[in-house]
Formats: sequence, structure tokens, C-alpha cells
Amino acid sequence: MSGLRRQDGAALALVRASARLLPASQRAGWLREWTAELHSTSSASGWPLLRALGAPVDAVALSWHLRRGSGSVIADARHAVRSVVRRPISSAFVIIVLALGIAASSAAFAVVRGVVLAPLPYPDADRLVVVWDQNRSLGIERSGPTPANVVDLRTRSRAFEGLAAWYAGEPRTMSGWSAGSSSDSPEDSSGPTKVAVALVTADFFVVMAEPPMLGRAFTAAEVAAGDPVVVLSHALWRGQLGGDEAAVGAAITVDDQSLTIVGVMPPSFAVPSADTVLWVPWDFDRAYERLGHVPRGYRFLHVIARLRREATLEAAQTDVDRVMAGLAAEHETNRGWSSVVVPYKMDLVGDLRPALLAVYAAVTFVLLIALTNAAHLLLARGVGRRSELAIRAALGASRWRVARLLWFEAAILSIGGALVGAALGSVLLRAVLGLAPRDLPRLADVAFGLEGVLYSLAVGVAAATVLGAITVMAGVEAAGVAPGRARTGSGEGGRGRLHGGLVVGQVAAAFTLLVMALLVVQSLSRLLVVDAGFEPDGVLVARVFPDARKYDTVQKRLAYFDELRGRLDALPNVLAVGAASGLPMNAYNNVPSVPFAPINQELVPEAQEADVFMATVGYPQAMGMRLLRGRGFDDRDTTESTPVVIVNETLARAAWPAARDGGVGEQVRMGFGRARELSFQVVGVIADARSRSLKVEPIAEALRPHAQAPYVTMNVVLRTDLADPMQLAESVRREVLAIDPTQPVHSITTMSESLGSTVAPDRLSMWLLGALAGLALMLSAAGVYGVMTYGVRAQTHEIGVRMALGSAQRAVAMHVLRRGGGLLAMGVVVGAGLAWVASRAMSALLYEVSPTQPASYLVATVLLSTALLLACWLPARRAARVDPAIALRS
Amino acid sequence: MAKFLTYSSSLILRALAAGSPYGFEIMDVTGLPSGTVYPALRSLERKGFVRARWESEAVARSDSRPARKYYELTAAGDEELARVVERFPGLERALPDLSARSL
Repeated sequence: MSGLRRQDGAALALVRASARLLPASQRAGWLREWTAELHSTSSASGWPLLRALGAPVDAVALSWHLRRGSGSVIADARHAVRSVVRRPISSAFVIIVLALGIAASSAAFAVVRGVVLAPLPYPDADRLVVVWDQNRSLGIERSGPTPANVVDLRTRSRAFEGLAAWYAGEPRTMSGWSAGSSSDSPEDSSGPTKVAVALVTADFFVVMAEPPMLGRAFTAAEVAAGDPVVVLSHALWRGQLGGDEAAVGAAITVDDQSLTIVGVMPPSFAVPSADTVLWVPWDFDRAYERLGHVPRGYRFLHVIARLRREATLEAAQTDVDRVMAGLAAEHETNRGWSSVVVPYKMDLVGDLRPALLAVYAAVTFVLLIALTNAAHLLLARGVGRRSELAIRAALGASRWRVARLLWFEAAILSIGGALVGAALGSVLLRAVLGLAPRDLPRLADVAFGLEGVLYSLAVGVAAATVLGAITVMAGVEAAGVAPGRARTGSGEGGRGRLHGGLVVGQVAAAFTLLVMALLVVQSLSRLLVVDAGFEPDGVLVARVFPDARKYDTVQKRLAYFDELRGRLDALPNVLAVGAASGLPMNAYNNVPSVPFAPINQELVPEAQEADVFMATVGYPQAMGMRLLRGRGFDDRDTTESTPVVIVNETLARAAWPAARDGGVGEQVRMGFGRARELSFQVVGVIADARSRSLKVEPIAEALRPHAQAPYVTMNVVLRTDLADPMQLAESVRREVLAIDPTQPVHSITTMSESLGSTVAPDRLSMWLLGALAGLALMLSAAGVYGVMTYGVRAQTHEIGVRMALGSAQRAVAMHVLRRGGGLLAMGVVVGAGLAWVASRAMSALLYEVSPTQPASYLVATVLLSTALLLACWLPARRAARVDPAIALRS
Repeated sequence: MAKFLTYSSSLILRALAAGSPYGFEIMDVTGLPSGTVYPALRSLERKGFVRARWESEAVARSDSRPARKYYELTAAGDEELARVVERFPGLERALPDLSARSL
């Protein structure tokens, strides 16, 4: 019957397929039995296919049984879980130690990922670059390009898809908004506020490639025509405008000018900075119409460009070099200047990068120390299990099975450590982010997230591999020992060497970390005692930027600031009041860099330059600057009197190198723009101040009296005897509004705060490295203590013999200490080598501290030796107290 | 002590004792499916109640079929059968007595 034969074929196929489920050794016999059975069925009666359905069931049941019988993976895993649970305390210790290391490491990873690794939240952000001007002969690493350079770069370079410029100008007064383009019924009456504005060229949004969330960006035609349009930030739109979609097309009033809102950017858009709320179009030709040309001398722009898809950074640099060389040949003002192309992300996080990488390296050392401690604990646990393993081996367990079992245990503990570590890490990350200064770049992009958990698990898997390998090395060796001997086996030998090696590694890692932390501590302490040239404590700074169009004459401006000074001077607890166009460590500096020369020399553009501050009477006193010679500004300096300046020592030395204590009474010439050369009489010399950064040596500076150069954007400085200068903030706001209710204070801060934020990255890395070094010291002391205690316990019998043979207690203690000391010494030697490499890599972080400076190495040695010898001393004492009678009986 | 056998295993023991020595015949007389009979046979073998042997090739060839695997009760299997018969009194009557036929 053909039907039956077809069934036979199918039944046989099913049986053959099922056979594949079995181990090869069983397959032939099993198959033979089933085919024989099928044969008799087909030749007799029944349904062979129906009967064959039992074959897969049989095969699965048989193979499951065979695997279990021969010691399956599942059985070993089950056994490993049992042995982890059976020693709850030592298991918990291993998990906690690993969790500490993994938590620190995963938190640091989250920060590095968010700040350094993650791309910026803009389309194709890796093609965004910034361009800075550079003048090596003047020692200027970075300067903003000039408007003319921007135009030239845009037209002559070939590497960029687009090149835009922005300028974060003075904050503007926003005094309300109205629905509908021409309605004059203001709906917002919360009063005027100062807001941060970015002036951007037409192609800014094209380069960024980030479309507005609502509406559109401004068009090239609008920019060229000078149309009063504006793009808002998400924050401003949500806050002041209540998130009303009708805002697009409405008008806002900025500095008494009505601007039409054309678009709203998404919340992630933060260029130039997170507090930019308005983007206003900027066209060089219109802006410099009065000048007649786009200026080539003012270096103040920020340039952002998008590389062509096929262009590399190197190609762009070569291209820019070519353009700049051409410009230097054509224009005198370009001589000596080159440009450097930097990835935008690097530009944002550049200062933070070395600190973060150092912290990450430190955290890795802590992780290694934690791993070593976990290995110590696992090995010590193994002592109690030597006989168990030996019995297993004697009963026929292969070395491979013993290894697998130990590996499973290491894996369970490591993964447990990773999970606890991930939880701890996210808590730790939140704590660190809370401590970090708010203005560190990209901190908003940092989150623990799924990546943090995956990272923790990956470290856990790596830990499992390493710990597994270490315990297997020790365990398989134990399994090779006969069960009877295993119980009394001495702790020395292979396992002792393994422990010793781990201790050396641990001490080396701790030593490296200590050196790194000590170097950073020294660097910061030097930075904090640097003579800044001014007294930041007790100084309140109020930024006041009255609208230049309202205060359009010299008289109005002088009257405004005179009245302000008078009112603030009359406040209680105010010791001195002044104002300047720029302040040390200040983002809103309005300070031109100009060439200078003594009156008897020609002005050589850009040969030597000075930063020129416009300062009122009282400014040097309020800022706590020291007048070395001559006089400060006073009522004698007016628009009609001889132009005067106060110069700093660096300028005086540069201009009159021959004269010691020279300067006062001399004449100096300065070039303000092309063909505008002015000469000044020096009336005073002040001590140098570090205006750009505490880390940057003072540069030549000059103060011009505000009365002779009445700038309108000024920083008002108050010196007070109040412990917290911010207590004056409300009174200052009130007085400023009392003069002109339409011109509020832009912002109030203290000088200590601005100074603090410049050393914030240093401070943060000091705290983090310090904390990590402390943790490393603790962990390695605990590790050494554990190892020595274990060694003493394992050698109790031997110690007993020694003492029975007449060894003194002292000698026994010394024996233990000698071993500890030897390991310590080796660790320090290895650590010194490691630290030498690590500290050179972190030299970018250090201020006036040589990375190889011996003091740090010495202090680290002393600290580590003290902690570790103490950790050895306790077990040594225990060894000395061993009672030989008891020890020999054991 | 050892756990009691399941009813199926007991029934298979009984079938073996009654003279049904290989899988499909056991299925025929007990009505159990193949997915029950074979795993049960292997389990009984592991417990030492049955042992298996291959039929001689000569016999198989004379019948022009492949050699079968035959199962038979061990001494322990006999004892176990006595125990399970006490436990499942219906067992004795559950199968037709085939021993007569095989004679």
C-alpha cells in the first residue's frame, strides 16, 4: 500500500531527526531500536507515523537524563549558587567590594560618555568645527577671527559647506511682547528683563542644520535687508510667552525695537550657550555701513562651520592655512596670524577633557584594587574548600569540572557585584552631578541610563573572567592535592605567590592614585594662592548695560554712572564703588586689545598689545588693585583734560624697560583701529592682575578713565564689609531702577564666585581624585590586612613549630612584618613606575607642578607605608601570640 | 526508600512479565503511546528493574527484519512487580494473559 509506505518514510524521517537530539555515542543504538520497531509495525498493522511521534519525546527525555547524569551545566550552576549562599558573609563582602569599584567606574563612565564621547545633539554634529585665530609670536593661542577674515574664509575656503559667525553681544532689554505683528496692546506686563542675545550671520542656522521647532529660521534675504526678525529659545517661549503657538508671527520689544518672531528653537539647542534666548540676524555690510568696510582689525567673533561631507579635519586645516597665508600676504593686519580648526565638541569640552580622563583613569585603578580584594577574598574562601575540592577530584571530577564550578561561583558573585554596582553607580552619579559647578559644559547631557547598566554588566563579566581564572588557578591546584594532605597544607607555595602578586599590584595601583591626587592637590593649592592682583573677597558685581540708544550722548552716560555711583556709595556697608567695561574672569568683557608703544617709538601693529579697560573713579579701590606709583583717576580727568591712562607693571616694563619703577609721567601711544592713534599720559602704575585666568600670566593692561571714554556697558563693582556681599543685591537693584525704571540690572554676582568658577574644574578633579585615592588607600589596606591575616592563619601550624623550637615572639612577628614589608616595597617600586607614566599623561591638569616632582612620591610612600604596615602589624601581633601547644595540636 | 513506580511504569512491568518483550508490542497490549513507553523503559532500565538485550541477528534475518531490542525483568524487577501489584490491585487484570500465547 503506497499510503502506508509514505507513512513509513515520514516516520523514519522523524525518528532520524529525533536522533540528532542525542549525544553521538548513544545515537546508533537508539536509532537501531526505533527502526526495528517501526519495521515490525509497518509490516504488521497500525500507524507507524503516530507511533513515531513518541521518538522525539524519548530522545529529549534520554538526552536530558544523560546530561544530568554526567554532571550537567545546570547541576554545577546549582551547586555554585548553593556554595555562594552557604557563605553569606564572605559572599556579601565580595559583592560589596566589587560593587564599590563598579559603581565608581560606571559613574565615571557615564560622565565621560555624556561629556566626551556622546555626539552633540545636532544633526551630523561631528562635522561642526570652530575656527580660532592664533598668533604664535604674540603668544596668543586663541582669539576670535575678525569680521573681514570671516568673509574671506567663507569665500576662499573650499573645505566647508557653510561658515557662520556669532557674537554674544551685551544682554538686551526685553520689555514685552504682543500678539499680531502690529498690535500695540502688550499682553505681557512683567516688566523689562535683560536677556542674552546672540547676533548671528545669515547662514548660522544653515550651518547648525537644526530646524526651528516652530516657525522657521530667518532667510538670507531678511538678513541682508535688515528686517527686524528674531528666533526665540524654547526656554523663553515656554517661560515668558507661555508656550503659545501663536507666538510665531507676534512681536517682542527688545531695546525699544519691535522684532517679529519667526521661529522657536527646540529645547536642546544651546549655541552659543544654554542661556542664549534670542537669535538676532546680523549682516556685516549693514553693521559696518558707517565704517565703509568690514573691519579687519577687531578680533572678537566666534566662527562655526560645517565640514563638507568628504573633507577631513586635516584637509580643512590645510585649506584654512592656505587662505590665511594668502591673507597675511595681502593685509598687514593679518601678518603673524593663522587659524586653527577645532571640532566643535572639543572646543566645548576641551578644558574638561583632561580632568575627566584623569578621573576615569583613577576610577579604573580603584576598580582594579577592588577586583584584587575580591580575588583575595575568594582565595581565602578557597582555603576552607581545599579538602572539598580535593575530595571531588578524588571521586573522579575532572579538572575541567572543578574549574567550571569555581568559574560559576566567580560569575555569580561578579554579576551580583555588577548589579549592585549599577544601582550604587546611578546614586553616586547623581551625587557627583549635584556637587559639580553648574557651568561645566554638557553636564545636562550626562545620565546613567541603560548604557550605564550595560557598562556595569560588561565590567562584571570581565571581573568574572579574571576572578574565575585566578580562583581556578588556585582551585585546580588544590584539587590535585590528596584529600588527606589538603587539610593541613601550608598556606605558602603557589597560592602564597598568587596572593603576593595581587598585593604588589594593589599597592602599585594605590600608590599611583595617591601620587595623582597629591599632584592635583598641590596644583590647586598653588593656583589658589596665586596673587591675582585684586582682592576678590567682599566684592559684589552688578552688570549694568543701559540702552546705548537712549543714553546716546557723553553727558547722558556720564550723568547716569555718576548718579549710580553716588547712590551706591551712600548704601550702608559699602566701602568703595567703581565700574569698569571689563572685569577679571568675566564673560562679558568689553575690552579691546590694542597695540601700544612709548611716544618716541612707532606703533607696530600687533607687536605688543594691551587690553584696555574703561574704568571709573574708585574702580581700582573697589576691586582691591594695588596702585604702585602715581595716582588713581579723579575729578581732574574729564573730556576736556589731557587723555590719561593707568598702566600695569607688565606694560610699564615692556614700554620702558630701562627705567626701574618707570612709567608715571611718560607718554604712551595706542592704536584704536586703523588710523586712530591716540597718545596718553601715564598717571599711575598698578600691580599686575591675572585677568584672563588664574593660570595665565598677567598681560599688559591699561585703564582709561570712563570720563574720557564713556562706554555704556559697564560692570559696577562694590566693595563691602559684609560677610556675604550678595546681601547688598536687592538694594543695588532698587537703586538702579530708581535712576531709570526701564533699565534693570542684568545680573548680580560676586567676584569670589566668578573666580571660583574659573577654578571649578580644578577643584572638582581635586575632590574626585582625592576621594578616589582615599578609597584606594582604604581598600588596599583592607586587602593587605586580609592577605596577611589569611597567611598567618594558614601558617599557624608552622608558627607553632617555630615557637616550639625556640623562636621568640618578636622574631615571629618580624617574620610576618618582613613578608608584608617586602610586598609593600615591591608594590611601591612598581607603583612609582606606573605613577611616572600616569602623571606625565595628566600634566595638562597641573599648574606649576612638575608631574615628576619627588615630594608627591615621597608623601605617597609615607602614607601608603603607614597604612599598610598598620595593616600588617595586627596579624603579626596575632602570629606572635600563637600558643605552640594549641597550634601543634591543630 | 525508593519512590513507587507510576501506574504507566507498573503497567509496562506487568506487560513485560506477561511476555511482551519489545516497545511496540508493549504499546499494543497496554494502549500506552510511544512517548510514554520508551522513556519509561529507559527509566526502569536505569533503576535496574529491566535489562535490555539485542535479538540475535540470525533470528531477525530469518524473519527478514532488523534485529529488535528486547527487554526482560530482572530479579529486582520481579520483586518490584509484586510490590506494585499490591499497590495497583487492578493491574493483574488489566492485561490479557499473553504468556499462554507465546508458549
